[in-house]
Amino acid sequence: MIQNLRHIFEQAVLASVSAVLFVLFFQLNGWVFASMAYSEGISWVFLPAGFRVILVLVFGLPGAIGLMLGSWYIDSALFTSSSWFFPFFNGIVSGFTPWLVMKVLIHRGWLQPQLHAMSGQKLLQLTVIFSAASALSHQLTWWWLERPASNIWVDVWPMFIGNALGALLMLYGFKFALDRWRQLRTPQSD
Amino acid sequence: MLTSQSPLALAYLRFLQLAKVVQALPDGQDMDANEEALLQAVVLCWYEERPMTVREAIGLTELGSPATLHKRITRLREKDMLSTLSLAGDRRAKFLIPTQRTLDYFQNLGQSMQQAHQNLPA
Repeated sequence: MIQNLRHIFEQAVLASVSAVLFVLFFQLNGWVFASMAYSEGISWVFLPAGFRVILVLVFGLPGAIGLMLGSWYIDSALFTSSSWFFPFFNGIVSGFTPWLVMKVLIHRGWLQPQLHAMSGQKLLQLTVIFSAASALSHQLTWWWLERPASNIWVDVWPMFIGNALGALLMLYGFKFALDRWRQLRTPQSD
Repeated sequence: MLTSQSPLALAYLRFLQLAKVVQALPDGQDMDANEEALLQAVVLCWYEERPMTVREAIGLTELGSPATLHKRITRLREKDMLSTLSLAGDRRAKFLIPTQRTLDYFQNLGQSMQQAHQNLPA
């Protein structure tokens, strides 16, 4: 019983961390890349897409739930009695698309659940797959819910490019930070 | 066994795995086999306390022609894998010295070898 409660608590912690990181980087993205906005909700550089990759790969299902909660928080102003379904489904798509893609890839044996035997090349391919899947699923949802002023065939491309560029920036920023950290920790030779 | 572990522990292990992969992301600074062979020859001489001069390095005919080796040295310098050092009395001779990045690179190779050796069945 205590073990189960602890399990649930840890998953809740992971989901919360995921939600906070997604929201913070969404706001940071809006602040840094304000001039790169293509239209409302679409930017040519979308940093949180990098967190979609990292959080879902590292945290798994709690990561996806956190992304969904983060997306709901960002869209909280849109939750009205008449139009709650748009932010609701947008959040589900935002969190669960990368998780579903990961599950399919694991099922097909392309990806190991514990990320064993993963290479840099594979991570880049995964970034492109996540970016494409996320852009397509968002656009299909927006088309299905008849979001005003959206054109799926046109908008899917800037969204895909924004996701891919944002994810690459995040991953290479992470690499840069890890390299610097490793250099600081390595004792200087005489 | 892993499924019985806590979600936090699993997440941390996957984070370590992902960090290792992220560090291996291609960054345009990777060396090809020819550059590696030249770097090994230069570092070996440096390790034996008789650092190689640029002239000596471009004379390593078994690794390529002087023009090719000169280009290779330039590329290794651009990748911050080699630096040059001139002695105070003789500025004509330029010695090839490994950089900190190169020393880190060889240290990583050494650690990987040690790890692979430890993982061998007894």
